[in-house]
Amino acid sequence: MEIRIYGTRGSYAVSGDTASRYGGNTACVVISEGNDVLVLDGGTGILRIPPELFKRSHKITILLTHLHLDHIQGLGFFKPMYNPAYDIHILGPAGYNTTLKDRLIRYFSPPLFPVHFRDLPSRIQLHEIGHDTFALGPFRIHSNFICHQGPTLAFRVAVGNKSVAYFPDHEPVLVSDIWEAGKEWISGMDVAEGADILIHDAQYTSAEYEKRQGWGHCSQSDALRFAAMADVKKLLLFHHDPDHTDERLEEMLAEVKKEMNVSFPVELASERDIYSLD
Amino acid sequence: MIVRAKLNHFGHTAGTMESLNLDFPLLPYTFVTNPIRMATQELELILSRQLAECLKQAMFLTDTAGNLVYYNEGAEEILGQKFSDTGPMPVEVWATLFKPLTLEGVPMPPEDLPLVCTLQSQNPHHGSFSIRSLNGELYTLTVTAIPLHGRGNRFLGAMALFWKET
Ligand SMILES: [Zn+2]
Ligand SMILES: [Zn+2]
Repeated sequence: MEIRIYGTRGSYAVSGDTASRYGGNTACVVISEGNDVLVLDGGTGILRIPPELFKRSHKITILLTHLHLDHIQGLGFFKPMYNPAYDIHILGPAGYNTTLKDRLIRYFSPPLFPVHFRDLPSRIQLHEIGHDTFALGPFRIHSNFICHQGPTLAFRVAVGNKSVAYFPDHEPVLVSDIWEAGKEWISGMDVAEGADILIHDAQYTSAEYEKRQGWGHCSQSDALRFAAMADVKKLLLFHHDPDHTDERLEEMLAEVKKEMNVSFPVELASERDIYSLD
Repeated sequence: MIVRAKLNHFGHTAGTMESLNLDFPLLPYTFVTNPIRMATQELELILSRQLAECLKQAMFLTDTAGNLVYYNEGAEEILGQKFSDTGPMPVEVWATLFKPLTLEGVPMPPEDLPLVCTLQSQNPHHGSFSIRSLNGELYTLTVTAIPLHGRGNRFLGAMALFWKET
């Protein structure tokens, strides 16, 4: 299984020298096993995926964690959406009273977007998922709702005995006492537990998080605490705040590593990263 | 045949199979190589507990079977127990821990408690009863029990909020 990171940024895309190391595109990760490919989220990072990846099968499967703009913005400009030769399956959460289709159409319609969803030439099928477990080709997937604004999923994708857990937007605890309540009471623990790689929200420093509690994201230290509780083997910090330069991200990581002693490697997710799990 | 398996509350397949209109295989699957060692509570219950942790007023949180999965500090006073000591409690235990009386002073059967009514009917219930404090003083409690219906209109349990009448 190979994991390629195409978009790491949270909230909105950034560009320029200060984001060149870790990347400025919003959330998108590609997981592949042989010729089978899964795309996680459709942020602007989706536009960096080399077209060769899908050319052979003309089939694309996209799993959306949620429908915040930083996770779907790339879809409107994703070339296969405009190519009638492509079959595109989009799996994601429905709303409380609205379908996944209704929610996507809000973006794919004027005045936000010039092209109506119904006018996209590719063959698109939408599938609503929630607390589910299923297989797609070689991938075994477990999804569950996690703490973030609106219906939001986390995914665990496994091939053989290797797995990657994807939590781009997550506030594991809203009340710090909950850490003491045990794994059962921590949002998303069933999805993350024992993963070989956990890709997790780490948008803020602890001081920044103090002022943004309840916004649906977490601090780097909460990401480390969540990962340690979930017994993961590696943590990739993700959903970098657009206000944090590459240099600042590295300072933050150095600070949190000093403050918390964890037994697994912790890295800042970068748009250049490729990981192999065999 | 394209099917998917639904996970139940405890992370095991519940056996509900659902056809999906996909042209690639979507097969039932449970984790074997990476077993889920600990079931996670439903997100709606997790968020309710976080609310309870922040409230001064007493709050009970139960699952669908009536197990008291959490009670906050305010509720510890009503039960005369600490959650850190008891952990979750089945309905047969928590409903008899305190001895509610009707406002007329007659012992109240557990099935008349608003929270128990809510668990049975899945509707809100409201009521008042008397209980004796740890120092023997009789006081009136008013309670509102609210069913928790989560996504997909699944009944997940109930919460009860208490007011001490002064
Ligand atoms: Zn986001
Ligand atoms: Zn979001």
